Amino acid sequence: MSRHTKRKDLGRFLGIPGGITVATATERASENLDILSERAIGQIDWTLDSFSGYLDLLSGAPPDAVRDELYRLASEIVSLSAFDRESLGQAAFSLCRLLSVMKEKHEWRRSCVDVHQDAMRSLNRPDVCPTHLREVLGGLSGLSGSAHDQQR
Amino acid sequence: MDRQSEFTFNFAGAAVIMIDASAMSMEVMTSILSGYGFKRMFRCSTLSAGLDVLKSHRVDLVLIDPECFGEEGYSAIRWLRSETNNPNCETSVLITTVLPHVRAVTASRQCGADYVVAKPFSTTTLLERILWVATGDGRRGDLSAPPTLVNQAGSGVDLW
Repeated sequence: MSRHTKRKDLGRFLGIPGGITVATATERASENLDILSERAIGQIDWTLDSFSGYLDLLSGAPPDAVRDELYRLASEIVSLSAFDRESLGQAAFSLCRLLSVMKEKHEWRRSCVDVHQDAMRSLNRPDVCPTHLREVLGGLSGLSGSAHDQQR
Repeated sequence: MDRQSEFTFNFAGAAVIMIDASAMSMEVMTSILSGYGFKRMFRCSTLSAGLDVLKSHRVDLVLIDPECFGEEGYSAIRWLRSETNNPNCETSVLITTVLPHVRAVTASRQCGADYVVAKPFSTTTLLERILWVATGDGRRGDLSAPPTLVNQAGSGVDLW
């Protein structure tokens, strides 16, 4: 692809009358997110249950469509983890890495996925003990990291 | 008062399209963009719906999570850039993704996107990226992204 010079489509909306500052914009956005918070937490719980439901039905390596759905569910948790579930989000991120690498390598490590699932369950709360978090994430990093390393 | 606090923008007249298969992610982005002042928002949960909008409406910003749609997500951006008769062919494209690995960043560069923002993003981070594409003189190109640019713990990957 050849290089393009960007046309500043959005640039015409800068510095015009009726504008707001960065501080005002982010404050309003945060207020809007606060309204969504309860629904987002509910969605996280539902997504975790849905993930577990898929795993319960699985025996052996799943087809690509199921792998994609598991990845979608894990990534949904990551996306929503800013709603007071940062620790859970880190575990879900590790799971995304693991699922991504396993799909590329056409392999399936059920035990690693189960460990991630258990970790996500234990981290699905706002205040996680730092020591517990460090231990859990350290373990998960080893699992998804080893899959990643073997890929290289 | 410093320059940053005096800087203002008014996105009330700007049109943005969000293409994301996750309904909740769409809700989150809608809430954030509303806070920034955007009023004209196209919300598309499928790629085909997004392409229909891009063919029929002038937009000022595209937010897309291509990973939801596999390779076709990146192909859609590549198509947009190649449609020189489409008024949206040069529109700023921000890619949102959960997993900003090297392959995704490289694919983002090669398809002609402007920036990769890692989910979950903060209200501050997304606005910074939007303002960056609004004010920047960046270029789109086909060089491979160095792995050092990939920040999996942070909230964005600077492509250029």
